[in-house]
Amino acid sequence: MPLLGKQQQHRKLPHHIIGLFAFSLFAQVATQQWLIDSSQSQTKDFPPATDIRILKVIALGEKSTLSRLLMLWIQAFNNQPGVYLSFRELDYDRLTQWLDLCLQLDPKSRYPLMAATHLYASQPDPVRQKKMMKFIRQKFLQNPNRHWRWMVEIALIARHKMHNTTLALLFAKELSQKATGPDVPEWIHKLYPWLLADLGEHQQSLQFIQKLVQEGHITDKQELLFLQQKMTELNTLTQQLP
Amino acid sequence: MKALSNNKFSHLLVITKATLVETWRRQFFLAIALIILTGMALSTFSESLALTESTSIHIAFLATFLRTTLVVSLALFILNSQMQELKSRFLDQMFALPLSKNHWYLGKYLGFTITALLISLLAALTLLTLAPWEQVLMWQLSLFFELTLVAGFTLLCSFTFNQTFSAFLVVMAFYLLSRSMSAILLIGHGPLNNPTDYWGNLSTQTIEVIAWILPKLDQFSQTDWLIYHSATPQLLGQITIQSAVYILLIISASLFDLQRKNH
Repeated sequence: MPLLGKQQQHRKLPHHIIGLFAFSLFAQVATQQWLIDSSQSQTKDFPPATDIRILKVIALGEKSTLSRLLMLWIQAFNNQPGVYLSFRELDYDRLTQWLDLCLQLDPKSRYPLMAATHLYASQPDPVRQKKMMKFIRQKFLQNPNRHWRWMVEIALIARHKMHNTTLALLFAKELSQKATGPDVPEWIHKLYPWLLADLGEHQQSLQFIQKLVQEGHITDKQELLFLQQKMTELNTLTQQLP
Repeated sequence: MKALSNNKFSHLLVITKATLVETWRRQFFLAIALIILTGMALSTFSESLALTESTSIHIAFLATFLRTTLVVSLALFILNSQMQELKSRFLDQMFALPLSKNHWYLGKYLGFTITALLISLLAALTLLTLAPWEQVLMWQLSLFFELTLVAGFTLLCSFTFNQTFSAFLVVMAFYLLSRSMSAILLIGHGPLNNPTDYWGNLSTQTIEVIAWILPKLDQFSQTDWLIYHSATPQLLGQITIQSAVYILLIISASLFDLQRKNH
């Protein structure tokens, strides 16, 4: 039989111990509240990008996991305690460095360039958009057959959101010249003539399609038929020009 | 003679069985099941945050979480169990019986190896719906080898240090170094390394020597296998050979240390 019952043990607790416990509990809650309040008053920007070699050591061999973990951290960066930062407030130079690190950790991952295109290059801020597009273009030029999709997307963003036709044409032209691997769909080569046609440059568009067909970039029968029709259409439009 | 050897083998199996029973009674498998459930909840949460590659994020988080937590849990369990036997003088009583230290050790190691196999199978079951079964199987076998190596090294440290804290520190240092050694070596041989710097060269050479005596755990149980389906039987073959050689090294070092000690 226990010497002290539960009720007795509770009653026997010295008052100063109960007081100390209550005080420390109150101090803990108050400190947490103070920490939340103080963190709300200061927003943080991206820290300078770390050396890739250090990240590889930290990854302990799990580079693809670390790449994804960093992506979630980057993605959530504008949600800081008590503050929502708009994308315009982010330091895009550092942001591109971190995205680059994620891509270096896992070159097969689509996440960094997907976020670069759909989150950061789509913001209505031409300076930041151009920085992000420069990064995407740089990555495309390093591996055109893997990253062609993002180049298509930024060409469309440049044309329809930024209304910068020069930039859109540059991206589309590079796409058709560089992305020539067997896994790259043939339609991306038609982006350039379509953009030209869209701009009323029917003659150039016609010449580009003719070049595509002559150089054997298009092999699919249906596609060739479609392009023949397109060339006839463009030919008619060119002849109608004064 | 044959009867004697059969008798010795049965001693070994008795120790193995006792180790497994102890693992069961101490609710180690229940703890592992709870860890696995936590991993599944965390990875599902991380998947919900992703903009793209949600399945690969789920796989990456779950596989990395399970790999690391299973290794740490098994090492802690072995150390705790061994230290308790040592404190309660159970080992002295065991060695007073007609039982050789070698058979006791091998029986124990076999018990922990079977435990490693069971928990690696439990972990692999959670990944079966997320990746092709062949890749999950190769990942599971590789995790089993990794756990077996850590179990063997932990058992060795438990004899050598006789203290949970220092033994655990050494086990974790061994594990973390084995997983990061390739990246550390790359830094050591990088362009920033000054060839005329005496101390720099000495430290690089020391790291190289340490690398020779460590298994390349960064090649084991890679998440890439499950995400990009990049595991091949050849790779698993290399890991199997590496593990077999290292297990032999651990066993011989443990038997050497055990015979040296006066229990």
